[in-house]
Amino acid sequence: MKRYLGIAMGVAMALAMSANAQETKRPFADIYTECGLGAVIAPDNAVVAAVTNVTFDLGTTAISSNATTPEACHGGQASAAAFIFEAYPSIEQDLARGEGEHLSALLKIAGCQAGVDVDVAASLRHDLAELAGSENYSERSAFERAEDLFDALDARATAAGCSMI
Amino acid sequence: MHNVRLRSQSIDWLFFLVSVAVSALLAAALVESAWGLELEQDEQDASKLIAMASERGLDQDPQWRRLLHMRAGTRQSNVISPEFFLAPPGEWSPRAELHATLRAWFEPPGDDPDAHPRCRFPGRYAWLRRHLALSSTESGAFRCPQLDRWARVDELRSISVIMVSGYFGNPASSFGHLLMKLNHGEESPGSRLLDLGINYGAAVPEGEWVVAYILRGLFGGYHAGFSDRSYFTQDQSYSRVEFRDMWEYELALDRDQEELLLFHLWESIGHRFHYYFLRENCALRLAELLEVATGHDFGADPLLWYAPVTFFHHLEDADREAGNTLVRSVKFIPSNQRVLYHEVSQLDAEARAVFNSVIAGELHLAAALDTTPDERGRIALLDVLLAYYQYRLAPFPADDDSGAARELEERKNEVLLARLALPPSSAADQDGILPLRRPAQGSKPSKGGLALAWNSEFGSYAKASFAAFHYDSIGNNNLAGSALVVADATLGYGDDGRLFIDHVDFVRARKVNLNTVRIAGESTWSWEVATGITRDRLDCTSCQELFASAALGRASPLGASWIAHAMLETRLESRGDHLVLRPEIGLRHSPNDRVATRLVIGLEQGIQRGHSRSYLEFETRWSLSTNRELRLSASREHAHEVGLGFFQYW
Repeated sequence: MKRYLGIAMGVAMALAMSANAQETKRPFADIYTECGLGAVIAPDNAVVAAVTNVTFDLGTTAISSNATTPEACHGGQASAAAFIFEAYPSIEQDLARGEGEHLSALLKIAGCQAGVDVDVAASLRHDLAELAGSENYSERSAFERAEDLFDALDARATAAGCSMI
Repeated sequence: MHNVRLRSQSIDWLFFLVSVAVSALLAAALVESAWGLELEQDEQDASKLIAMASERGLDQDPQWRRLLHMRAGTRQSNVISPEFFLAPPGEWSPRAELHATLRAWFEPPGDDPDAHPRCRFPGRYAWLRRHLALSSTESGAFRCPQLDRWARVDELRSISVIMVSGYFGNPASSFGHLLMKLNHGEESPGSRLLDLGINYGAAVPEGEWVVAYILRGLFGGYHAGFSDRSYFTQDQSYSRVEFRDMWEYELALDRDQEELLLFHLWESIGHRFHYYFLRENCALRLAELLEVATGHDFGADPLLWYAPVTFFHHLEDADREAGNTLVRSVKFIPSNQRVLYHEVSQLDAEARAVFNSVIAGELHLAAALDTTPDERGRIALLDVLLAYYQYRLAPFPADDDSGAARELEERKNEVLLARLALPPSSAADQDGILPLRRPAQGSKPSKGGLALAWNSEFGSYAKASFAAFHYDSIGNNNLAGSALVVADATLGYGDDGRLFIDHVDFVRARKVNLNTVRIAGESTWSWEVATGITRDRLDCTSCQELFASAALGRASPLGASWIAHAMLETRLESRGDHLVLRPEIGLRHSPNDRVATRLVIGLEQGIQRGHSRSYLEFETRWSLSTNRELRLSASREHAHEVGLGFFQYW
């Protein structure tokens, strides 16, 4: 009886945590429209917002301030979204090789502890192989690819108990 | 009875209401009185602090002026954002701003503590606390949530300053760049990418015309400011798009210095300055921040110009003076291009040939993999191919629809899929990349000197020279045969009392390509561009002409200390033939940092009148110390001329 009670309590807690996590998760596009300079320049267009986030600071640096960053844009999800979009080629390259400093940084943002990170990296490598193997991978925009990888990371990190949120 | 009861109840209610009203009035009066007393107390405390600050002359303290971004000897702050000042004439008056800052200390927190002056100007208050006993009447610690979240003082491991090498793709970047990095948390693989990068730059409209860019940059036509972004964005920009090497100096600051630096940075971010390319640029602004925090002199009050490398010379000097306690470590960060060349060099000759055939489109990937039966070999080949295609794609904007970008993207994806089908492997070993010499290990950028010369036509004469920025091909610098010289002038003074222009280089930039690893399609050209004034012939002193030239050729290292080159220069001249071709060959020898020599032999061929003449140039440098040197030169072009000079760099 105690055993069943323990399992029931465990399931209930897991469901509660999952529900709680679901409440705080936001789609990739929302994160980009709400956060950073993209939000200032193009708050209603996710793609433009994402692009301006990158190009605004290339070459000669523009003025920005942390004070302008909305509260909702701090934390693992927003950091992971920004990192994946802006450093996608380097992450892709590291995933192909199986290691590298961009992959290490991504797992750090995702809140994956030592030990778990190796499994998440391997799963993510498998996910990238599936994504890259799809017929339209070459046709997908940089934003769409980043979104796909973000979703994959989100799922893998959640399954592995990483603390991205 | 009923009426009596009603009246009685009414009287009770009336009594109750009057009592409540009187109590409320009394309470309000008491609160107001207490508030008034508190205000009065605060006002008295503020007046005391102001009197004490005046007595100690804090308003004229150089550190206070630096906190207001007010340079020594000037009457106005460099900040042009009105919200940076608490007093109406604050930008003009360090005293008024000091008084307003002290009064603001006592302002009630309000609903938004982040908007309180204590949270907006923590650097000022951190400095004032060192000189005055700032106290407050409110109970508990005064919290600034935004600042706390941004600064994460408890997690701060160290602060770094980064020298980014010059970039010829942008005139403003030719002299290099300076960044700051706030290093939080434990150091681990990849953690540097997540640190916070601090940049100072101008807000330049997209598509600005280059001439307008230069003029507005020189004369303060742009607004500029500090920005804070995750360091991976800067790594992406400088290392992966512009292929610039970097040197990271991790500073060994104490906790007070780090706090003051963070707080002063916080109060400076988001405010606007005028941008002046030569002086009030990234290097000077970040040097000012460090002067405020450390009290060291980084020369951030120059007369005319301040280059990024100037700051690093000051930093290394200050570190030496402080017994090597200011800089904890210096790390070389190779550009993505340098990493790629290193990785290609690690392939054996056969694999390199296959690699070049694939990227040249001569061999399909599948066929290339078939010729490499060993799995380790296939992994190595695919890793380098993937690195190559990422390197080639980096300069293209995201989603570039051009044919070239699409073709590269498809080839990259083919390699990616093939690589993902094979097992993971260790990341490429970058330890084998030889660190480049630090720019600040060589001479300082500005040069002046005197020389004695003898000319076969008009005898001996004296020369005086000055250069604002002089890193030439045999200088004591890390350019290894390349050069960047700006505003370099030499005047001659003959026995007959005649003063003449020997030569002026407005700008001379030279890029010597010494890559020994060949990658199909990659440029192997060396080049030089220059414009200035020169003597048309060596046998005259009044035959000056304006010129502009461009040269293209090849260079090759011969062993560790020799470089040979062959170039064809096209030159436009204001006199004589107007258009001449100058093919030349040359050698450069530099066995160590103290000595370097160059020898050039060339032929000048006029296009219009067909005149032809040969020329020879020889020059050798002996460094007496890092910033002092002797140069011996000899030239032949109609006349012979030799010279010996002493030069000092600063």
